[in-house]
Amino acid sequence: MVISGIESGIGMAKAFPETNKVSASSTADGAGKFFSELVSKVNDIQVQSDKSIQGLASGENKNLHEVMIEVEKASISFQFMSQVRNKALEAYQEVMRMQV
Amino acid sequence: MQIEGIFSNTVELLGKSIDLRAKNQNLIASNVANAETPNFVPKSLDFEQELQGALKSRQSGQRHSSPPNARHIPIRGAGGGSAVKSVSGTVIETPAKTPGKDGNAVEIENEMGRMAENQIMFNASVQMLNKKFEGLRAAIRGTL
Amino acid sequence: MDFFSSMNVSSSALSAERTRMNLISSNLANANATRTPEGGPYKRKDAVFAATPVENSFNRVLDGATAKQVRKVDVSEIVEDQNPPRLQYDPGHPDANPQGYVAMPNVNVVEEMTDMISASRSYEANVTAVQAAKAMAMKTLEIGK
Repeated sequence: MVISGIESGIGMAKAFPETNKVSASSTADGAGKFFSELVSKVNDIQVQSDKSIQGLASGENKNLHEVMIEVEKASISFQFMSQVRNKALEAYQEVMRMQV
Repeated sequence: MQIEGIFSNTVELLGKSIDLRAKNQNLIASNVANAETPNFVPKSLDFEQELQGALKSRQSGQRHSSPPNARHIPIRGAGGGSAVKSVSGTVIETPAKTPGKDGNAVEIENEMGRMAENQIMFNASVQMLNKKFEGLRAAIRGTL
Repeated sequence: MDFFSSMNVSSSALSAERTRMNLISSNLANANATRTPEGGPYKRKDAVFAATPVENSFNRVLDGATAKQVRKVDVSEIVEDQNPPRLQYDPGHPDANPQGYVAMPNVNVVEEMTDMISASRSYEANVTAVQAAKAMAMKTLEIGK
């Protein structure tokens, strides 16, 4: 008689894949990956907004509102990323200031 | 260090777009002014096809083939290039379908519509240029 | 890139339309004048518009193709309408000819009214052109603000 765990029955395992492996290794790697993913996503948004500006200026794409929204998205996501970086730096400096 | 590298191709494109629309405004004003002159044919500046061609000619351009330092995050560019600088539109004639009996071919409604569109696109280009510069400033300053 | 040649062009059109308006009001006012200093009834006057290139050598060198195509409006001459005067039967009139007809000016009031509407519409369109050029110039000043 095979008794399987609750997770495999309901399908919870698929919704939340194993994350222990990542936290087992150093968190510095995880943060590095997080930042590089964030930067590349923000860059993608910037490139997308650049392309839509080019489309508007050259007359290919007549949707002014779409372009304005994308430009605003790019600007906000860039500011978000730079604030995340600032907070991370602050946290690092706070930690370094701690007396042993 | 090439300082112009921080101004992407889009900034150049927007500057060109502003320039071309200003020239177009001159032509449209000339058309409106001559709306009653006999034998006058209205003209306008056609630049959209040229711009599209200039943009596509360097679509696949990539700035750095490999990042200088292994820890730098590679970033790819958005295409377009110095071909945009040399775009200057062509003046085309846009006569009305039914010229008046004194030979005047200006349709004032068309010209007003074109002028409104030109102005809106001009304003949009200026605003986007502003946004780009603002973004650069935020990046340099580090915080907003 | 200059907005001032555009404003020059529009303002030339404004003064041309104003001249035309003046002629139209003169025509309307004298629609029944049978005597003039030149003798004979009043003859209808009309303005002839001509498109003249914008004279600005600096402009031409810089802009090339577009600057050559921009045209402003000039009133090249004011012509008198050579249509024969309207003959109206009124033997008691001091200016009646031996047959009893008075030569009335060849002014068609309805035509003058429509010309007036067209001149006024043109004037408004050119005012809009001036405002558009000015708005664009002001917006340009905001780059980098």
